[in-house]
Amino acid sequence: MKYESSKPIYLQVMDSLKQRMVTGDLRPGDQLPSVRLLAIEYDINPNTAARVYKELELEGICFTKRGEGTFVTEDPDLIRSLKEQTAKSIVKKFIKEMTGLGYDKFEIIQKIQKEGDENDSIENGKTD
Amino acid sequence: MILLKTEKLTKTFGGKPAVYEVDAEFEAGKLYGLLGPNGSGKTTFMKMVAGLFYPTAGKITVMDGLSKTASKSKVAYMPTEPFFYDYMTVKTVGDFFKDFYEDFDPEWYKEQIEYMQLTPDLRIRALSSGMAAKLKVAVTMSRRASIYMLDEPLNGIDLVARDKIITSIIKRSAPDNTIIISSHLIDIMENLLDEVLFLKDGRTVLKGNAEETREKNGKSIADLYKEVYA
Amino acid sequence: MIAKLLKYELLRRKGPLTAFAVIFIVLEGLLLFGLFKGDAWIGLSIFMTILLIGGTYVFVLLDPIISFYSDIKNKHGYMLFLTPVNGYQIVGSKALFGFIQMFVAGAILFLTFVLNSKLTTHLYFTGTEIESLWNRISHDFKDFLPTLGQIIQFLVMVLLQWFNVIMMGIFAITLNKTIFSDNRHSFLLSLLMYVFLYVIIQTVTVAILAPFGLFGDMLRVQTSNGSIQGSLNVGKYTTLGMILNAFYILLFYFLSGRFLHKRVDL
Repeated sequence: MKYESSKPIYLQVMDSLKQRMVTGDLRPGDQLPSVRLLAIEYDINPNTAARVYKELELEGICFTKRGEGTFVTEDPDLIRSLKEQTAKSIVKKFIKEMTGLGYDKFEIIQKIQKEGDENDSIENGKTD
Repeated sequence: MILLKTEKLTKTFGGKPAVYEVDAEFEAGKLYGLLGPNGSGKTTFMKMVAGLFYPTAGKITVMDGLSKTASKSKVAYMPTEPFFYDYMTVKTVGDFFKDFYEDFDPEWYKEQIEYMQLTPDLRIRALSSGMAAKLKVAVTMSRRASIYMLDEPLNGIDLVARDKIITSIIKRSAPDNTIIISSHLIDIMENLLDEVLFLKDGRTVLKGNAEETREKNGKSIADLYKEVYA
Repeated sequence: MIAKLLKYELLRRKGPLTAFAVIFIVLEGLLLFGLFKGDAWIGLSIFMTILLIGGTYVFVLLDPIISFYSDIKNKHGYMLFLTPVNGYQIVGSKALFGFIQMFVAGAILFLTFVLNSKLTTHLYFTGTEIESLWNRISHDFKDFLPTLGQIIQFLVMVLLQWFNVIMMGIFAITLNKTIFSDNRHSFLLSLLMYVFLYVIIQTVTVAILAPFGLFGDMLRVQTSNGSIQGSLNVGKYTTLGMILNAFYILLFYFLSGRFLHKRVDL
């Protein structure tokens, strides 16, 4: 994984794990890799990997069963809200960039509408 | 727990200091980056700790003050250059380490050799530089040492082998040992390190926790490195 | 630890030792060939004899020094110097290996020549000829012939002297990588150091021997051309020689080990 230069590495790994939970790559109740394996998978230091799990636990997204390992939360609401958060931040970022280009709210909505319609027709075309 | 400590450690060659008054502490359970361009004193520093150079001045304390000979059984130093006898094979190198180091784990060595895609009957003479570099890591990391010192472990290594070497290092990192890696390939090492120590002309110019340093300066260690050595 | 060090030294010297053995066998073969052919071919045998003795001498003296120099000069020496053994053990193993090698090579050389001389007598002389020759020698030179004890004493002294040459080489190289480690012309310096040590040792030896009547004895040997055996005690010198050489060996061993332990720069 490529890391951004100014953001702490543990936050970037946390984001990556959250992303995987939201997309369903990691499902509620799934066991997560051990600290060492997480470190190897992400090419990070084991202490950083341990911190990732600690912070995720504080957020309630993970929990540790003693002697067994770390697991993704079984609470679907938490995952859903994680999804909401992710969606929100994507939209926020999008709006910020569009505003930067000089579009106002209605124009942005129009654009999305149009893009969405085109997408639909492509999708329909495929299924035909 | 501090496993290695240097106080005003100095080495001069012909009156010119290669390492000058370096104070450093290395704690158990952490990975340290000894960073700086070639000629900044990284190798000299490591060689003094390993007992290949004697310090001109200053002090080295290994664990709770082990003797020079005793500390060699606790320190696993990997030089940059291939350092095996030509007559040996990959297997003999393992035998040699087993004979001289109590903490050497032959099973681990076997695993590492396989992982690095080497075979026991390979002759040292016939190894390419990349293979020799992999063998160095394999044999060094097959010890259960308290202090690992790897001098430029990624030098002359292709991308695939790079990942393997990094994995071997991470696998060995444990709460009871400290790993010190010297490198000038900062961008690759960056995510691996707990602590960084920048050397410039033999002096310490920056040291601290890697994440804190990134947060405080708002830039990566690699960017910071470019600034310091520009 | 010494045993392990010796083991790897042996593995490492396998190449040079094999080469030495092969050359030795070839030379001995040529020597025997000359002996069997006879006549002018005897010249070949004599030449081979000289090569065998000279070659063995140079090999046993140079090999341990070269091995040590190579460890101290090349990166593969790190393998040795990183192991948890101290300088005394490293020097000790190198010296011991050199000594054993010298002893074994000497013994093989000796046995080979016993064999060669037996063969010579068998081929060219009859038993009675030898016997009468031997009787004549022991009769005519009764006063000069050394006893077996004296011969052994002399051989031990020579062995110690050779060993001392090896130790001196090791010490010179050690100095070069410790106290003179900053210097660029380290090999030349080692060589100079060696010559310098040699001169010093000789001077000291003479100085020590002087009170024991060395100059008087030398004068007597030079001025008299007849039998002086009665008044000249050779045993005195071999004994002194043994003691002095043993002392130098220990001194060089101790100093090399100490420097290697305290101040090495590899």
